[in-house]
Amino acid sequence: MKSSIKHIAIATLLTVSTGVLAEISVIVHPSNGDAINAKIASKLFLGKSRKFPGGNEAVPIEQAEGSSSRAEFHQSVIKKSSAQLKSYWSRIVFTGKGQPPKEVDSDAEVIDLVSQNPSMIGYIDSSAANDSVKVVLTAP
Amino acid sequence: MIQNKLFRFSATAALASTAFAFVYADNSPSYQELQSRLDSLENRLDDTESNLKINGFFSASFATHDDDMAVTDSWGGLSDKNDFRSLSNLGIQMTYTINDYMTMVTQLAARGHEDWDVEAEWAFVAYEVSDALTLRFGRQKAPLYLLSEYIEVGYAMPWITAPDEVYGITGDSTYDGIGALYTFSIGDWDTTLQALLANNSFFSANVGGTVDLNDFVTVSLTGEYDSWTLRAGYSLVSGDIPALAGGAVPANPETDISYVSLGAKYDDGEWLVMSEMVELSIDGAMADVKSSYLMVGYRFGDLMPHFTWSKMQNNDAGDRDFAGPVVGPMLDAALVEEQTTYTVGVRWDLMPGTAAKFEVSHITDFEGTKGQFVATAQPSHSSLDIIKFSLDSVF
Repeated sequence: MKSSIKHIAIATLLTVSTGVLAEISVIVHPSNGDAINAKIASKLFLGKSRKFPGGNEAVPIEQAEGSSSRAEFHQSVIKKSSAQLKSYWSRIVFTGKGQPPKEVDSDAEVIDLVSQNPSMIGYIDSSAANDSVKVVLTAP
Repeated sequence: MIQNKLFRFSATAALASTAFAFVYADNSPSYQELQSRLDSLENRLDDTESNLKINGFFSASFATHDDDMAVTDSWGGLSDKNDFRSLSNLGIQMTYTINDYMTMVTQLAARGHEDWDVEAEWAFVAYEVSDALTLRFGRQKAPLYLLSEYIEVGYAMPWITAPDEVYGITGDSTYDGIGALYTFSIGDWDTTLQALLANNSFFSANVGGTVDLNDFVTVSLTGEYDSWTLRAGYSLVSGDIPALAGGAVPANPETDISYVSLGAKYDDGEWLVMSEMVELSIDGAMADVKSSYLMVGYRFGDLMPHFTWSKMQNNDAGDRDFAGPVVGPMLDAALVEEQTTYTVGVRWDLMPGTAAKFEVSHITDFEGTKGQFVATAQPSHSSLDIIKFSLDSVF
C-alpha cells in the first residue's frame, strides 16, 4: 500500500511537471494530406472512428503507461485522466466492442512506425519531432 | 500470454528436433534453410500472439449487514457472518481476431455467490459487415440499461453493486442469439443502435425456480456527445414463469414481459451524474414494477465520493390480472416488491486499472412487502444497513 501511494505521488508529480514543460505533437506520415484537429484525433484514439477525414484507414499508435507524452496527450487532446481512459477502455473491451490502440515504448518508436506507414497516427514530445514525419497538431 | 509462450517454446523445440533429425538425413537442408524456416515459424507465432488478446477483471469484496440472519436478494444475498464471498467475482476474456472482418470473443466469469462456478458470459463471433454495422452470433449480454453489458466489471462502474432496484429486476442478462450494432452520427452525437434477438434460461432466487425467456427482442439507442450519454431501450419477451408463492399461483407459460428504460449520464471529468428509469410490465399475478435511481458523484483528484437514491415501486396495485385461489394481501406480500435504498460511497482510483471502493447502503420503505428479497430470507426489521468494501481491477 505504501509503495502504491508513492507511485501515485510520483505519477502526480510527473503529470504536474510535464503539464508545465512539454508540448505534444500529433504526427502522421509526410504523404498524409488530412487536416487533423483535436476532435478528430480524439475520435481516432478512442476507437470511435477508424478513418482519416479523407477516407483512408487510420491506425493510432499509443505510448505505454507511464510515458510522460501519454499523460500529456490524454490530458490536453483526449481530455481524460488515465483512470477515466482505463475505465472507458474496460467498458469497450469487456463488452467485446474493441481493443485499445497498440502501444509502443518511446517517442523514437512512434516516429519510426509513423514514418514508414501512411495509415498511422501517433503523438510525441514536440522536441523529438523530425523531418521523417509530419506534425499535424500541437498541444496544449 | 503464458500459454502462448509455452506454445512457442514447444513449437520451437519441435522444429529444432526436426532440424536435428535432418542433419542425419542424406538430403539434409542447409543450416540457412533451417534458420529461415525457424524464422518464418517464429513470425507466424508472433502473428498468432498479436491476433489473440487476453484481458481480465476481478473484484475482491467484503460485505456485512446489521440483520441477525442471512438475507437473499436478486444479487445473491449476504450471509449473517462477515461475507468475503458474495460480492466477489473474476473474469477472463479472450479476443481473437480471425481476419479483417471476424472476431471471436469469449469471456468466462466466476462469481462468489455461485460458488465460483465458471460460466461463459460472452461467447460470440462478430462479423463486421461494414465500418458501421457489426453482427454478433452467439452468447451476449442484453443492452437493457446503461451498465448492463459490463455489470460484472466492478472497475468500469462507480459502485460496488449497481442499484438493485433497477439492475436486479431483470435477472440474468446473458442471452443466446443474434445481435446487431449499428453506429452513426446525428450532428455531433455519436450514436449506436443495438438490437438483439435471443433466448435465455436462468434460476431466479426471487421467483424460486427456473425462468425461461423466449423470443427476447431488445432495441437500444445510445447517443454520446461531449460529457453526455443518453439512452433509451425497449425489450419484449415471452417468459415461462414457474409456480409462485409456494404453489399459490400455478406455473404461467408464455407470459408477456416488457421493459422500457431511459437513462442519462453526465461525466465531465469532475462531476459524474447518472440516472435511469425503467418500467417492467408483466402479465398475470406478478407485479408490474417502476424503478429509478439518481447518482451524483464529484471527483477530488483520485477520490470520488458519491450519493445514490434508488426506488422500486409496484405499478399495478389492485389491478393485477390474476384469478387464482389466493388473492389479496397475502399474495401481495409474496409478490409485490417495494423498497428504497440510500447509498453513500467513495471510489479511490489507486492507479489506472485499480480502484478501491467503500459503500454504506440503507435499504428501507418496504411498505409491507418483501422488497427485493426472497420471502424466506428477507430482513427481520423495517430496514437493512449494509457496509461494503471492494478492490476492483482490470488488466
